[in-house]
Amino acid sequence: MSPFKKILIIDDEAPIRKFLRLSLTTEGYTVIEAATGKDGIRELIASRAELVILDLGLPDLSGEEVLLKIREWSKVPVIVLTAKGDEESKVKVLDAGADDYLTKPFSVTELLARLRVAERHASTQDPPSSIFQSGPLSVDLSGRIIKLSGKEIHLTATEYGILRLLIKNAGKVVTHRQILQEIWGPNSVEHTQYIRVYVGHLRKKLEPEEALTKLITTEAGVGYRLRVP
Amino acid sequence: MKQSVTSGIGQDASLKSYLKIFFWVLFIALINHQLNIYLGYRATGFIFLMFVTVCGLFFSFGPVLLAATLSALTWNYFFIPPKGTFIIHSPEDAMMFFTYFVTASVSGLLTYQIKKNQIALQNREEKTRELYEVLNSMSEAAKNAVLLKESEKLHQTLLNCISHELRTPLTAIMGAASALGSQSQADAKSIALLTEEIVASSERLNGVFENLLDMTRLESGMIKLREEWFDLAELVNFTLEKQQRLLAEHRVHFSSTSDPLYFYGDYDLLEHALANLLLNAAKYSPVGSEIKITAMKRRAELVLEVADQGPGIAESLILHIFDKFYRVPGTASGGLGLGLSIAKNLVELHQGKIGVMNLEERGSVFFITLPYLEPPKIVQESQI
Repeated sequence: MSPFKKILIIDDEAPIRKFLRLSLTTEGYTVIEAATGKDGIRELIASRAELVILDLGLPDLSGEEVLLKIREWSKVPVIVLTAKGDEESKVKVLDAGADDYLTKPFSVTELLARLRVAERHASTQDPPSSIFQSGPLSVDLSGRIIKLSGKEIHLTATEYGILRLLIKNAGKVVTHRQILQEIWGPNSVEHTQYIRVYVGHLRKKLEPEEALTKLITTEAGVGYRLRVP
Repeated sequence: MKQSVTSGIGQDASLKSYLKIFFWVLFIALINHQLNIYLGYRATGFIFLMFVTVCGLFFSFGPVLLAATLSALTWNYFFIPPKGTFIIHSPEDAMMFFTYFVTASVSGLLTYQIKKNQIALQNREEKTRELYEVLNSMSEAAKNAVLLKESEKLHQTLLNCISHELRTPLTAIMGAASALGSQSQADAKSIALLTEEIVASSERLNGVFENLLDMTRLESGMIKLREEWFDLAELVNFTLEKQQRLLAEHRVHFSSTSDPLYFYGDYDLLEHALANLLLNAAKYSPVGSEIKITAMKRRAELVLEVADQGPGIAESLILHIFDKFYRVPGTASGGLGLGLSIAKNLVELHQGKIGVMNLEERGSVFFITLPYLEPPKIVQESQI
């Protein structure tokens, strides 16, 4: 398990690049910068960066275009930067294969947390461990056994499906569309309206009121995220 | 004024019109000369009379009088026997000549007078209409001036508000950041405090932008509802968690019915609406006081209430507090006066209502009512 060393920042705004460079170099990362989408793609090929931070408001290409170009030949983790009001393009890019997103303005703490999650997901090439543990919750994915503070709880097939998907992507955002595709298949638009209801049921079972630890967080307009311990 | 009384009927008493009369009399005389054979000289007098009367329609006082005189003389000289003289033998003819002259003059002048009056009336109407138009355009201009002044005032207020709202947190950020930079010895506690200040001010700044953005999108009609089913209790819990930092100085309580309160609407937009009510409550009620949120179903409606222990709202102001850029006079705390207006707009996008009442003891309660819809039929699954 080797943490990333090289990070490519594709953002046309110099102050943002500077802020990212300062924060990331103090954490020991090597930072490569590009101000346009085309330069970014070129830099990625030349530098073999291990993670890309991609701004969605580039002057030459849309974030989605850059991402699709990258995805043609690389699985490098991509974290997108969005501004408020950009909801639709944010969701599009996530559905197109971006790994996570950050809404400007964001804090360094948030950024570093996203990097850690990306590192973890990239390094686990071997099958993920079958036991997931977070606070009082433990899920045995091979035996389908869910325990809360040692007590077994029962989920419906849908609830379990959502939980398993969130665990597989622990720490990362999972979009509504990803949930739909995974649980009901690609042609199940009518279920969109009910995702919150199912997640609501799941939450009720996993987050007893007294604990109040928000295990599943809602990402406004995007989807859900399972908080990592 | 496009035309004067006289020029309106070509009645300028210039030489030109006298000449015209002269030629017209000559022309009529020639016609009469032809007709004289069939009609006799008396009837030709009537033709001259008709001519003079008609002259009144086209000429002014002088030319009409000339027409009467000239036609009388012509008639006398060429038609009344003995022809070729101005002498009249028969007393009957003399009487007729005299009557002709008087009748021709009077009827010609009367026609002229009537025509003149009519033109004057027309002119007066024209003038009145023009005057009306002038007045109208003046009042329009005045109205526009007032509107412009109002909008300038609004712009000024808005600009003042925005610059205040932006400058205050910016000042705090600059102050705290430069203090951080100049500290020679790193005192962990003061660094933490200064950093906290920077973060809090940045969040406040971000809030201003979010509200401005929301308002702009609402105004332009760009907001598209992304509707889905959700439980109002989940919405409240999510909003409370998101606004944790800004609600930290108040005791927040949330109570709801045990059954889920499903609503079909845009979760994120309603979250903004509720957040604005909560922040409003926190802003205008004393530190340490209680903010009580209640979610319930009442008849055919879902109701969300936010009760605070602030000073309440004067009855006369209740009508205005949901207006854009309205801020209760005399309130010290900053703000653009957009929060409640945005909340109202967002709730109304969902066919809901928003309102406020003063509580009997203390404080006020803001409420959102949303139409109750039959909850979704979700296939019951067995548990695994």
